[in-house]
Amino acid sequence: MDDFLIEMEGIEKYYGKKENPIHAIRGSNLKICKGSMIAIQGVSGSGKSTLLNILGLLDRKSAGKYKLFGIDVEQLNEKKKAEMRNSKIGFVLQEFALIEKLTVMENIRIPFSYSKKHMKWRLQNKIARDILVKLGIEDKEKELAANLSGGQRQRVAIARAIVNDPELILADEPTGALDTITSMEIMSIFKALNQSGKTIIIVTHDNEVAQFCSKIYKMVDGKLEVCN
Amino acid sequence: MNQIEYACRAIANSKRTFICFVIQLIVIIYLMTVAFTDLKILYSGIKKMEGLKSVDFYVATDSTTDERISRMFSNEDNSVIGLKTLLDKIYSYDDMNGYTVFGYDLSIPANGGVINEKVASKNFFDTFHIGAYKGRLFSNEDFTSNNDVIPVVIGFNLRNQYKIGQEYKFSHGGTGMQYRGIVVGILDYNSCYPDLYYIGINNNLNNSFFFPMSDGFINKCFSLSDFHMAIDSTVLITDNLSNIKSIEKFGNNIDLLNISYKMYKEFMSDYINHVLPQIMYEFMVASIIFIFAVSGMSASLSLYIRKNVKNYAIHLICGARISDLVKQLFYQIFMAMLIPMMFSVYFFGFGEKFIYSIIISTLIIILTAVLPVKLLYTCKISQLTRRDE
Repeated sequence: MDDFLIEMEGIEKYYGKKENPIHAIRGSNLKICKGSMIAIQGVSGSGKSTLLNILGLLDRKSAGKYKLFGIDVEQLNEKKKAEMRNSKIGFVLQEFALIEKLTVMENIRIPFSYSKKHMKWRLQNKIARDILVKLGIEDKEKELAANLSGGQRQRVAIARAIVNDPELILADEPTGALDTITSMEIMSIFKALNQSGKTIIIVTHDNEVAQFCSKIYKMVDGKLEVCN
Repeated sequence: MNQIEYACRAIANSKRTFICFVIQLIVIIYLMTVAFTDLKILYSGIKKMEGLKSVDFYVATDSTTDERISRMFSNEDNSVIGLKTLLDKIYSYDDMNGYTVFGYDLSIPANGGVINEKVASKNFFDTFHIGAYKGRLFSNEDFTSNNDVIPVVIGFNLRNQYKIGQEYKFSHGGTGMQYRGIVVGILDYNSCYPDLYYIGINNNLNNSFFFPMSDGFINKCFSLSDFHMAIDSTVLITDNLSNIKSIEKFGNNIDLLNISYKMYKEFMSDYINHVLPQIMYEFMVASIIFIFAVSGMSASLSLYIRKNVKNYAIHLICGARISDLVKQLFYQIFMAMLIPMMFSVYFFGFGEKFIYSIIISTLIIILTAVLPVKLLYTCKISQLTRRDE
């Protein structure tokens, strides 16, 4: 029996009045097993980021069923959703990457501020430093985020996303602002994370990036279709 | 980092705005506290004086011109004789009570204040039910005595400097005339009496010492100014209006001071009509500054939130809730309050005024935070994380 991390059925998202709604997502189904790495492609405005926001509990669906980690999200209040975003989901976003005036270490440690585990400061630092070493940017620990290159920033964003060891990573155009070589480096990191057992969903318009994934979906006019 | 650290970091990144906040807050809190305190003093004073409205208290109103006063001083000896006869006239009526109390602040520091020398007539202590902690108050003989050594009653805080039964050298606050006094009693702790001329003000006597307005003291120490102050500060208690008229007529006849007497309830009404507009003006100015400052601070905070919406989004996707961001906001406002509160302690000490400062500060915090908090709560997380397409 497949172990589904994500089960979506008939998901719809529309804006405006019920009589005359503007559909962002229409009747989409999605089932993702644990340990998968999937890509969602589509043109601008096709609804892929909206789908990612619903997946990551950042937005509510208008209709349909959505189970995450086996739990119906309708049963989750705002507090539980925040806890899930903190401990079970990691976000890597193209434009909302880092807080410029904080250092690399301070950026990575943001999720610890909201964690229920209440780890000691030394342990938090150790975990953060280990991740920086894995991502090859341990020398940038005290650097301000504003002083980093694009690739370095994205590594820090990934570090922040995985610092609480989440099961699911959601990435929205993680290589959108990077050159080809750096993009490939970032995708290698994602691949390594997937091989360590993390489930990864990447929204991208880049075909080369999508090729790193085992399954590719396409958003066409708000509807999700399997490509491979 | 916890929310306090994030709040500190936010303040560090907006130093100029923070400094403007703090300066505005210091001004508002000071003005509002002063205005509120003045109003409270007046109100509680009026309530206390309600009882006196039904009693026939008469207070002196002095409309002597500067020219007249200069004339008096140019003929000081005769003026002294004239004023002495007026004072004797005031106290000559058997069917009339009253008291006189006036004094000088001496430049001798004591217990956080200054020592106050006071001269009091026979009925003063009884009128305000002031008692002795040790020793005695003035007796009738003290007011008729012509002894070289004058009896002294001291305030509670002076009991370690001046011992009962001991003689000390004193220097009169008005003339500087030296005389010897013997301490006969110590007043109860926090003895006080209401200042009838400044409604709501209670004159505390802990740092005061008293001499009887006796013939001996008058002859030894009173100058023209002392007579003038004594007559101005005399309060008469009588239901016989003809006595009052007689004193006024006598005063006019000697052609020195221009003194008339008003019933206290009339005086109170005039006083309130004079003081209340001033206090309401204080309130109005403070309120205008308050409204502008709170609106300004609220708008600045809202602008700050809009400018930092992406940073808030990062916190939210890392597991923060809107209430965590609200907490951060309140910490920022609270930290902005700390410096004005320190100024409050410096200006007002840890007394009643400091409590008013805290109440006003709490009101400011709540009002300032309303709009920014609403802004945070009405933002949808998904809108915050939306990419620019």
